[in-house]
Amino acid sequence: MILSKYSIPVLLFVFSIGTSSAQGGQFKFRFCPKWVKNPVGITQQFATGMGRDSMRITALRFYVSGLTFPNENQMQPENLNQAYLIDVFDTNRNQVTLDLPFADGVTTFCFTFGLDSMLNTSGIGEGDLDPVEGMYWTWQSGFIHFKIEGDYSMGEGPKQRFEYHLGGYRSPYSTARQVCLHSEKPTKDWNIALELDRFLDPALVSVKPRVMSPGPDAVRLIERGASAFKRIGEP
Amino acid sequence: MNFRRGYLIAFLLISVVWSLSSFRQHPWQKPPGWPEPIYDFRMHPLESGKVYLGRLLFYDPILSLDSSVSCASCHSPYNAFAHTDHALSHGIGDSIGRRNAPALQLLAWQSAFMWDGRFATLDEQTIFPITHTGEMGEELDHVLVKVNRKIDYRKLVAGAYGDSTLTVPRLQESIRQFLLTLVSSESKYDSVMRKEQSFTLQEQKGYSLFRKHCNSCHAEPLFSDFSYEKNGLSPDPKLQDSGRMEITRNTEDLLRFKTPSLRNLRYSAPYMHDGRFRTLREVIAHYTGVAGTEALKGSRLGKRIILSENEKTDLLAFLLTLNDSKFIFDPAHGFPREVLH
Repeated sequence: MILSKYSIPVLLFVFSIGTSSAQGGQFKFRFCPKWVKNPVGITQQFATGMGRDSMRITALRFYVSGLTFPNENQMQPENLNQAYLIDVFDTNRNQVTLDLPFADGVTTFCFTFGLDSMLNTSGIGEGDLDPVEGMYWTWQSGFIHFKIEGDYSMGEGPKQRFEYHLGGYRSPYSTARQVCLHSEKPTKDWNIALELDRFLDPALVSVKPRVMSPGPDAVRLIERGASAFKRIGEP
Repeated sequence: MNFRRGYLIAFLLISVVWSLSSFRQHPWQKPPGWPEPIYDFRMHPLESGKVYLGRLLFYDPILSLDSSVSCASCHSPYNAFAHTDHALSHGIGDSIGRRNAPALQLLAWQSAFMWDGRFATLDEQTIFPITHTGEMGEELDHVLVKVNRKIDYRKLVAGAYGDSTLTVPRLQESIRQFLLTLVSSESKYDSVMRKEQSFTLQEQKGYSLFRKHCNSCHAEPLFSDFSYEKNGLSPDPKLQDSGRMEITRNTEDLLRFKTPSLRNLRYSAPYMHDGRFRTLREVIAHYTGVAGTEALKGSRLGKRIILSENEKTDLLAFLLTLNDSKFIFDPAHGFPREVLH
């Protein structure tokens, strides 16, 4: 075979295209708490919109796991069942960055809000599943999937506090929920709002300031929580 | 000949009984250099069958009214048998208490139990949360009915006590025996004291500061003298907790709470009787702020504690040498997966 003077550059060009489409890129998702579209900071007092009531959030943590990208035509990346403990008020822990084979980003991103039953029954783990994180209940109840704490000016509990520790993996009170978010165009950087006004009903907070065990109340609240995620930029 | 045979049989019988009782005894050793425990192990030795039974009951939510809460719900082994990330502990029906569940460690060295020392024996202590409406909310009769209904428990009770019926004294004794096995003595500090390791320079500096400012109440090696002290915490108006005074009715005891051990702090946040401090830095900041103030004049915190930021970090470094991961993850007192699910 005789190589022309253009053969090598052409070969190099073709090779680089093939390589770059196999390299993929970084995918990042970040959670931001909001109340009626306004960002909420830790211990920041904000008006609930119900008269002169106000609320503060002092802790907001939850697990996401089982990440999937269902509409992508390329092969799904492996090992996405890892659990991530998101702390929305900690800039080191309110986001996750992954290497994915989709160089241009994704249009659909799904995750489990919580942990599946296998993670719940496997006992304690390390890293985000370390019981020192304060998210481990007991062997019979597994992990707390979602924890939100704060105080509400009309609250009746001690120190006007409310505490919702929502978990449970046993039927019929399993609280793991699938959340799927969409983008019109492929996107690598997802900012996801957790719209607290869709989750916390001040009227409920004032009369039932605590849910700290598996059961129907936890299920009702987690369903509200699962519907409160919205990609920022979505109309 | 008959005489000799009689002696031989008696000797064999005594040997068998002795070896069986030794086999049943649960080994308990005082760590070297530690003070003698207050609990009388000679009069009331631990027995393996009873310890195991107590361990199962400790982890079993069957003790609670709706089978949702066990002792371990508020006293997790992974948190030094304390209740992490909860300022105030909670019970059945999401009821909330007034205090943070204390770490269950070193109970053999204590003469009274709870933050206010209301119980003089561990046996009284074990019953209280079972029957308290804000904790497990159950009646003892009903606990016995539920437990005695289960064949696995009946076998264990028979092994421990000779017959298969659990009674209230047996419930108390078995849980008590399990709790007495919870001894944390394998921290880095302990291995330094045994001359197996050395502190780092920072830890050594922190140790010197500790001995200067903290050792009078948090005396080594238990890191508490278990006395009732005021430490300058302002009372929470909603909780209305007077501390030891609720028991003694002595105004001198207002806002006095039992000094907890400082072992395993990494695992047992938050801190203080009402869990108001989430981090050790907040605790140190509190003490450097209140010690020597008018309110604490005459107390063991009557002198100011002045620490630079570096010194606070050194002190923290030393406190972290009191963490004992061997105790935290010891399977001997962990969740009994082989029986409970």
